[in-house]
Amino acid sequence: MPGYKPIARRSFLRGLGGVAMAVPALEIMQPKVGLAGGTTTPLRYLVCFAGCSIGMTDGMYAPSGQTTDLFVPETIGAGYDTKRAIAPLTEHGITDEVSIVSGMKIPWDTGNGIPAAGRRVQFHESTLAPLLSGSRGGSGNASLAVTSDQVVADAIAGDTPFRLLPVCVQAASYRGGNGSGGERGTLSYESVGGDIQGVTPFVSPRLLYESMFAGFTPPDADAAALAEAEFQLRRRLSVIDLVKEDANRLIGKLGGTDKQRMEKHFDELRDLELRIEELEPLPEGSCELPPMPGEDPPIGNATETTSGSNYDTTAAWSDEETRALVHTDLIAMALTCDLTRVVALQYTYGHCWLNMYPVTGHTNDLHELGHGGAQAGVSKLEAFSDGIAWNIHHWARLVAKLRDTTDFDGRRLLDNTAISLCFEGGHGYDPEGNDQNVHSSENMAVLIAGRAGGLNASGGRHIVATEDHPTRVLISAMQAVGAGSSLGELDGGIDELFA
Amino acid sequence: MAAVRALVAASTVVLGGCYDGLGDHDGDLPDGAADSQGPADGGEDGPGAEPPSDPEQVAPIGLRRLTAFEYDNTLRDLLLDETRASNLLLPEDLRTPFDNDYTLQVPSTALIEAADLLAADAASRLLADAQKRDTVVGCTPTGADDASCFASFVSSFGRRAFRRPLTAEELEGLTALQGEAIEAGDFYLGVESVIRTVLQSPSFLYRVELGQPVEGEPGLFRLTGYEVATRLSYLLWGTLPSDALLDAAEAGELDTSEGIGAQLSGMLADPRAVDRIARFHSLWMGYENLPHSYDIAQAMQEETRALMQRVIFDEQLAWQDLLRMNETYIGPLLAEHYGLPAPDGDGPAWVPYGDSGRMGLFSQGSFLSLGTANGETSPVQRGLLVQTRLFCQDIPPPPPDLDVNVDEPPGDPATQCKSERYAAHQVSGSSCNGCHAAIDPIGFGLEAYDAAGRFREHDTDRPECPISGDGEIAGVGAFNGPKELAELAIESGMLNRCVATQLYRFAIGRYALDDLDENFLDAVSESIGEEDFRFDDLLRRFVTSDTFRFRRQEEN
Repeated sequence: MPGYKPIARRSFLRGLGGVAMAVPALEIMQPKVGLAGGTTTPLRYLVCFAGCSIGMTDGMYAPSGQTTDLFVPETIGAGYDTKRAIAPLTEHGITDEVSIVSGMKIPWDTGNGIPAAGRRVQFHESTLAPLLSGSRGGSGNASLAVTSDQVVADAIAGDTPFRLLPVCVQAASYRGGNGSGGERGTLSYESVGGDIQGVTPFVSPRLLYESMFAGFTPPDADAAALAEAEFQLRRRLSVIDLVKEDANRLIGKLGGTDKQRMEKHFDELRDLELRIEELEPLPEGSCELPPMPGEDPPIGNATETTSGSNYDTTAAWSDEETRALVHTDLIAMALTCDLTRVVALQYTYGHCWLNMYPVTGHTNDLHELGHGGAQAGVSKLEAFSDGIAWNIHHWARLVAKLRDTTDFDGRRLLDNTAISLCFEGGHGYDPEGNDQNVHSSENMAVLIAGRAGGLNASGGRHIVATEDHPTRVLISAMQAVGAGSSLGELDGGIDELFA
Repeated sequence: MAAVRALVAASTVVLGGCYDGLGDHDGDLPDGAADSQGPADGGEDGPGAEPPSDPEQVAPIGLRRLTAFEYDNTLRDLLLDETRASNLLLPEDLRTPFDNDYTLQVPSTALIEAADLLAADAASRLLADAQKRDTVVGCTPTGADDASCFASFVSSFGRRAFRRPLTAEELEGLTALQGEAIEAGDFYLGVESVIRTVLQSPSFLYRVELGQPVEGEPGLFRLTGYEVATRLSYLLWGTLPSDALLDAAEAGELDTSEGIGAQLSGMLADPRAVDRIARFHSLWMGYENLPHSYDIAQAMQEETRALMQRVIFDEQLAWQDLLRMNETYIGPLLAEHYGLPAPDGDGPAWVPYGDSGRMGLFSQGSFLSLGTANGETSPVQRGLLVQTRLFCQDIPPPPPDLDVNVDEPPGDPATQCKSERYAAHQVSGSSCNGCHAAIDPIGFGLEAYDAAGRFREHDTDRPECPISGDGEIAGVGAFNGPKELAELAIESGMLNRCVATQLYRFAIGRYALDDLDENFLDAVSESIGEEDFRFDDLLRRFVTSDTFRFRRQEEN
């Protein structure tokens, strides 16, 4: 096959505009927007989620019938202590950047219907809708209102190539057949013609890389290489053009909901075309071409959980450790390069059945660890906290990266960011069993970092906001990036975060 | 076993005493007459198509995107590509339990990017293999500018991929891609562009059905022969139509029910049909993934697939014989696992059940692994699966304000036997009993078989807790063990309509049913009756019905 060359998927012909050719060694991929025309450095918003509660019953740590956690610091204010579940904050050296808001609560149906920003009684998944949208959920799991990331994207995305980047680390459902329970893996809900629809996240690290970074042409490429890149770009646009034509013809022939779906498909194709066409060179920052992640780890089998020695330590696992590392690196660079300003990042599904053995050594999934599933040499709460800590570790790694990255304005990227991490539950009263356990939306906590808009002005602190709604922390993050001060049925954030 | 013939036939009848909020399908039907702006004329002018014999049996069907499984099959048959890696990139297909519910397939940035990358990967793989490339291209170019070879490739490849001949406009657009090939002096550069274009075109990714509007029935369309061919092949093979099937469509042979029926036996003789029908059953009953070690899980899948192959394809027995088969296809590993006699030799063979108390599918590990958690059986989950999947009884989850913990079994496992723990569900007149009376006793009838399908006499590690194995289908009769469950289920007359219902859901790619769907299922159920039926006969009734040749547009 002489002369055969695959079409470069994305030929970033940046530099063709005649700018920044002098950059040595580093392959700088310049963002298209940001500082042009003297505008200010963009702000970034990330909402992150872990599909577990933060505490449980454990006789070693709490009196019989009561719950506790190894998460919430004893100390209030700055210099808080980091117990087992949040130890990664210390390991990554970011306690002075991260505030912890604890003691919060999502209300539930006590017989008079689901209250504002509340949930139905049955636990698992029922907290996701109110937590992410600030609006009461329904009888199902899906959110009935748009989520915070969508509201923020409308406010700050500008014309970045990716208005919003939804990403999920956990690669599959893992119980009842992969594909069971889609809402557990959905973090973002958008309004499509008034209908609220879940947004499919990027799951494949390779796809995320290829979508954002592949086919980059180095700015120091010679004339022949640039000509070749230009040709490949032209080919690629010819392909997308024909694909768009096909979608467009179908729109004209379809009716009803089919027409709507094809219109949505067409809109996404047009966005793809715009991303490919993107040519404008812009001032340099810390933007670099990240290394190719290689092939994705295979998707693991689904499994019904069996505990202890019966637990299949190879199933329910798609190397989420590697996936989390790659996703974190790519997201950090996407923010650095201003390819996106808004990220909805899900580490683990609600009601998470991800195998925790590869990362904690405990032979069970995260959900079962929350119910005191088997573990060796540690107490139930300690084992569960190790699972919680895995989520926090990857979040902390991301925060540290943002801290260590210089933004366009010379400040730290973290200074122009608001990034939160929320959890499926807290611990305490469980209206289902009328007792105290892990299935509770009491004692919830949210982590929040970043200094955008005066957020965390006094550094990382532990703030107790007794029975306040955890989504208020997300609203604070929205306020920090100038995206309003309300979400769904909730008004106002946690003022202390700006003190 | 005193069996009482079931009074229930309709799939939406709610069990007596179990609260609901169901059964009302009125009020949300698409009104074909209300909105006649529906376009879709399939490019045909002139008089509309002949109407179906009963338009009230034609329900809405929307655009269906290929599932990851179908996408991989399609690449295999289109590009000789066995990679089967689309699940790494495509969004996870949500299970209803079926993986093809179009109402859950929402376009997204991740989908569009995935389709783009998958197309690029597939094109690269093909061009890297000269033999496959030459087979797919179908001619040897004399040079980069060989217009006739390029046009013939575009036309034949496009027809297979889009499952219909390309329009003049499409041909023109795709053949123009040769311009870049000529510019670069490489014929196959154009081939690559064509493949990349086609594989991410909506006409490939979605099963597009436009058809011809039916006169006097707004919103109703009669499918073209090509669209019928595509329905047939994705239903029976899970992949695109063969050239022969497209030729039959072109010749007008799929324009009548008789013509469609004539294709059926040939299509069922294809090995891909066995895979497809086996997959339908595994999605339906939920044993697609088994919670066991790889060897055991594989052996169980093989056991069940052999049963499907024998009953439905090789011997063309009644579908009920899946449940009645008195022997099973196992090797030494499963024989030991089940406590059955080992087959002669090392490999699997048919081993008689004898007086083991086992019979048919319900006795296989694949089925008995269902509704289990933490390595233990759940009588509630097993009972629910039988009621919802096999009898199509809608049983709602506990009401939103009920104080139950659905995530943990009742009672105290440390001090109580399992039967005692679940007794709380059965207190007459309690809020639990209304539903659980129809659920738990079915599970307890299977309780003597553990979460891996092995017989046992007492609760796990609890010799003081004997298992009676006594069970009951509420309103039908008592049974003990999987063999008697099978006999009772067959005798109840509740199975046939449910089999038809589940196949219909899979066939149309939509789980939720409305009145028009039920009208069709009424007719099919009546035609197959309550006695034994053959699965290929049920398929025949499906594909030769007017419902299969028509489509109703889904309204907002």
